[in-house]
Amino acid sequence: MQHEELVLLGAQADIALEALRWTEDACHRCGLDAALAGELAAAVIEAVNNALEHGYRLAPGNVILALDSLSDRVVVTVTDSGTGMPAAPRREPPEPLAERGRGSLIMQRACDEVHHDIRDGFQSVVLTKLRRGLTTRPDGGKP
Amino acid sequence: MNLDFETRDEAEIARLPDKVVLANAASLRSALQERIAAGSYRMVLDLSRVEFVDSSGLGAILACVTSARRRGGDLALASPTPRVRALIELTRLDDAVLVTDDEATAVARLLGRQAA
Repeated sequence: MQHEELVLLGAQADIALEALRWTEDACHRCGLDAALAGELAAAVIEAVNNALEHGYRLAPGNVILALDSLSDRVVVTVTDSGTGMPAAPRREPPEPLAERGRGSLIMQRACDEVHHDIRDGFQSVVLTKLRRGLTTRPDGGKP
Repeated sequence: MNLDFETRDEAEIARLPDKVVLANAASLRSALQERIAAGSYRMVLDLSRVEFVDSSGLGAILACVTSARRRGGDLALASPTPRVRALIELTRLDDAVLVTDDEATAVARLLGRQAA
């Protein structure tokens, strides 16, 4: 198993882009298909945004990314120590013109598994992408 | 946020920056809504330079769609890059908003829709 970590300092909004680059680079290093890596990175961005908006309420704080590469899957864990509640998981799309509610949807649809965990004052979102991939259907669902 | 705007026929083209994310979504929304409020309520957002958009960026765009429609106009998305198009399809944004492969088609359909 290959393991990599990145600590994003300061919880500034720009760190989401750093998370994007790190995730894609780490996925490349562990041999995940580029299209699957792109979907996983989109989900990671949303998890980081949730940490910034809901965990830290845009106040300073660190976000830790950890990537574990296994034979059949790549798992990214996004952890913060903020005090806010995480965004509620969502699989169904919001109203067509609703301005909010798509972050959780993106995580659910871009990943094969999404798991939320709260332990010892830390909140984590665990995003799993299978290497064989469940490519997204045109209707946004999983085959 | 400074955006490049161009008027074509009776539509306004807005060229979005390379990233539309939490860090700049609010300022993008303000810049576009200011333009819409000033009368540019038939608008095409040129996405050809956008490398990445997140849910905050999509939310800002949808807010502007609502603003334009409230004024009797509409807003279309043109020339999304493959990554952005994938996210549009993943979130089914294309069910609610006109998305075209090129700017000219977006303008024509936007104006056609207005004329209908």
